[in-house]
Amino acid sequence: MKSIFYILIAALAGFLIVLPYVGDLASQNLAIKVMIAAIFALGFNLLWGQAGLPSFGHAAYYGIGTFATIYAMEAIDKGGFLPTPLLPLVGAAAGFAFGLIAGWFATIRTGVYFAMITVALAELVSAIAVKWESVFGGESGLRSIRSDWGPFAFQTTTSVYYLTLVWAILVMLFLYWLQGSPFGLIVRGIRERELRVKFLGYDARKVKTLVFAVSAAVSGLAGALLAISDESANMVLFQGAGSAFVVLNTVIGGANVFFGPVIGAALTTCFGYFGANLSHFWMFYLGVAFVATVLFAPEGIGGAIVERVRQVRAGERAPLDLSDVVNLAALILAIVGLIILVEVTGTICSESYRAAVASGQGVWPAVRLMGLSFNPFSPLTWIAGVGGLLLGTWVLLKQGLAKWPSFLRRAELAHPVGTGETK
Amino acid sequence: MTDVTLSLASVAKSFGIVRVLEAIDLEIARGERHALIGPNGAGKSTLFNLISGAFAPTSGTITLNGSTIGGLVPHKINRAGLGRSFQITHVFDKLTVRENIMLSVMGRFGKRWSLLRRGPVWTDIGRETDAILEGANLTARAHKRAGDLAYSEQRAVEICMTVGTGADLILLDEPTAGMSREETEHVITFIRRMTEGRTLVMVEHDMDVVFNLADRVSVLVNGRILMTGTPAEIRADARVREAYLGEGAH
Repeated sequence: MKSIFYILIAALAGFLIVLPYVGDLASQNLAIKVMIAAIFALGFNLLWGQAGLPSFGHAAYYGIGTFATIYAMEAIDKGGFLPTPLLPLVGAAAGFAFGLIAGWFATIRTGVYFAMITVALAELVSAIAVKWESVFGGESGLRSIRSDWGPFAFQTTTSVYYLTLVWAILVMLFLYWLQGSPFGLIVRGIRERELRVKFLGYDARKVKTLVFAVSAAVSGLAGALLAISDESANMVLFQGAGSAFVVLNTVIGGANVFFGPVIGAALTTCFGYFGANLSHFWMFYLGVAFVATVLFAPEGIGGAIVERVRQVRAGERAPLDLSDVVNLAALILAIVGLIILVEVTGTICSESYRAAVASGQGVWPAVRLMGLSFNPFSPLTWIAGVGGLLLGTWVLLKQGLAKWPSFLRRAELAHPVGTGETK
Repeated sequence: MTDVTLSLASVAKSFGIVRVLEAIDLEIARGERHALIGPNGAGKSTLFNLISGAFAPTSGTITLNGSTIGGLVPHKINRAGLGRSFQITHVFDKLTVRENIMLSVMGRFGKRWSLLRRGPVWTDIGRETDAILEGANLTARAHKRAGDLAYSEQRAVEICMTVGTGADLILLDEPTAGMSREETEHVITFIRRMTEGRTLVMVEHDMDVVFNLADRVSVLVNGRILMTGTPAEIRADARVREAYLGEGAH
């Protein structure tokens, strides 16, 4: 099992190194965006997964990193001496400084109040960004350019790709090392039982403030890489969507697994890239994926992988078996059912469709989807949609891949004899 | 005065208009094993929380080894030499048993912000951690997650953590709560061994444990100390019997 893991890592590393030679410009840009989202999610998850602190305002530190870096790029362009490859440290420093202040405030309270303070601070930063046009560039934002440094030229996308890759690896190594360090142990202790940590002689508040700042620094570093890649910064970065996306990436990928946020970031970024061309409703699907993960598989994709590896190691099951085929089929069935429902409903509610109905003397044209025609008045359309979704979901729940959320698990109370479920 | 570890002088605590504790005076000598008993709601847990820093006393002074600790935050009190356990088990469920103990030992060696695990001090920390595990018969469990242990083992981990901080005053909040008779006897021996050479204050409901372990006993009733004395004196006292019988008869 371990050798498989190393082969996978080697394959992934090889793929990332040769990507610019085999992929086109678009794929490089996508990979850059994936890595930036992954760094951001890892930074966020240091706070959430490791310290157990839910921040719903991390876009602030990401955006601050981006703007700080744009200013630094401008300074380099005007003759500053900072090497371009070290620009991400500017974003990290800005994130750290703001994170220290924000963390000091937020850690006054715990739990939901902590989360509310993070939201409030992010809104505050966002509001300031709107008001201070001279600093944040207003609606048009700020622009700058990448400068070369010594023998290194940073004008091509490929050079930015490699710069981002190097920083992504450095950040991952740093966070992985931090997690295993004695300080990381204290942080995990705080997640488990903060009260206990205090009574063991640790100043929990200071530890939490520092973790918050480091998390914000990593987020700022991700923002800096965005600035380097896009050569621009816009106040849109500070809006709630950024804070929401990083939560979504982390949850879908699995907050309790180190690489979980990376998986989530890769999936949602790619989904946004391809899905946006395929459907108007791609954001909706992402939302459904998020809700489904929270309700039925709270450990996320990473958690599912880790659990599978554990089971295989313990000899409880084969790496792959027939049930996986069934699960995959059920998952596809449920997704197809969902797509039919969403696309048909979405299309017939759209303005262009109303116009088509009006021009066709009240005849409702069929909705074209996946090479098939779906008549909105045919019961078959709705049976296929609802049926596919329900049947697929039912099989997934039956198979145990998805789990009913605890508040819906009445059966468990009725049958106290274990059903093999560990939690 | 040097042989007094913990001293409480007219300590009182009110929550709003409710006076939970009034004028508690108590001196606990170095090396003493002291038990706090009393009916439910007498204020035993509140007193524990005041001493360990969970709450600040409304009035009065608490001194540990001669320095005032009343009103300090918990981590400062811990560093002054006090360790406590909780009535409801407070171990780190998802950390391994060894990590649980190590967390408590690290702080004693001043490693509260360390990012590296190098140098001779970490050898000492590792050795001390393993010694505590060995002493508690937990070596075989060292790499299991604390949350996966049996209840009585979790209680043992909790006591190990309390002792592991190097505290010389140990507060144990109902260490035998929820245990069977055999487990309880096991725990009594265990507590006696782990707190060897330290001062112990414990809240306990089980009279067998109290009379078995304690040098002196204080009876707390309605926020006041009814009496303090040796187990034999307590057993013989009519007022104590009345307080308990009154509680028992409802």
